[in-house]
Amino acid sequence: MEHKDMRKTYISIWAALAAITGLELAITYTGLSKVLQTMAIAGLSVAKALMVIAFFMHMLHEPKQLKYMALASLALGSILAFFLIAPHASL
Amino acid sequence: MSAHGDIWPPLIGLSLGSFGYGLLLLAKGSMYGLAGIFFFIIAMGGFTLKEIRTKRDKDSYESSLPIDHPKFAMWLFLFSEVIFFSSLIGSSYGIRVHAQSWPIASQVLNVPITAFNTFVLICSSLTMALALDSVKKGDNNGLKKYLMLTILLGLTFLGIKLFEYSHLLSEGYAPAKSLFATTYFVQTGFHGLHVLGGIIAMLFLLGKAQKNHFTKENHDYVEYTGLYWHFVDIVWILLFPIIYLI
Repeated sequence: MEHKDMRKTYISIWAALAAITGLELAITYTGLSKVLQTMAIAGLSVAKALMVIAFFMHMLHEPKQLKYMALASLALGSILAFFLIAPHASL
Repeated sequence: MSAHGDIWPPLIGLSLGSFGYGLLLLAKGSMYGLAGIFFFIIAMGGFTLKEIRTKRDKDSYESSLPIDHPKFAMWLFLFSEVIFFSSLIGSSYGIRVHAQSWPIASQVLNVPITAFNTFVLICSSLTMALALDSVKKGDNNGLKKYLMLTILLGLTFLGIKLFEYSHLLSEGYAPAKSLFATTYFVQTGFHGLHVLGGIIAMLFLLGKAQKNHFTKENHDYVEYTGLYWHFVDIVWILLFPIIYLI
């Protein structure tokens, strides 16, 4: 099977990643509250990570078993991070 | 020959756990930790000898995995790295939340230069993806060009990081001096080591590419190295805002 030229896709994703990075930096200069800034930046970071996983790492085209394993490792990592932070967090 | 019902996978898993726990016991001053390490050496040594002695055909293993084993092994390694960095970042953030005081990142760290450094790493992910795309089209010159660019960008990232480190150390922010400095250097230091490891792997790939080793049909190791490199980029994508922006 002939390989599909992915250059345009990769360059589009790269441009989006660069733009989102700039946006994250810009958010810190706005007058938004710390909580809103944190939520916005965290959400954008996760979006960037998902774009790299889906397009650069080709997870979109991998079998669903691998996708489930990736989700499981992300879930476990998040639970671990939560329990490391949560005992000390205060609202 | 089926791989099901084999004692070795759980045995190796147990031996790895005993190795880790053995190290912990030794660190606490208990010589019982040596037993864990001894068990690990016996298990790994026994498995290695068994594998060396067993003659098998390439196709003798049945597998229900729809992807090739080396690629799956790389993904499994990356999943373990997810747990590693989750624990590192989680514990560092837990320390920060609990600390009585914490410096404002923009007053201590150089956020604009690091934002540029983030862009450098994102560019390196693009060039790595283009390297794989080139070799899949049979373009070996494109593969070499993009691999070289990826290596250069990776070295640029490390160079800027070292510049930042020297500046911080000269300002008195050394690892043992404050929790902020310790968590900063541990998180970014481990990430930097992973970047260095990726650069070394890519240098090996470049060496092979120079000898026209990779073709349209045979380029799996470019893909596996690419997976590792993109993961290193993802870690920085998450680390940069946590340390510098939030």
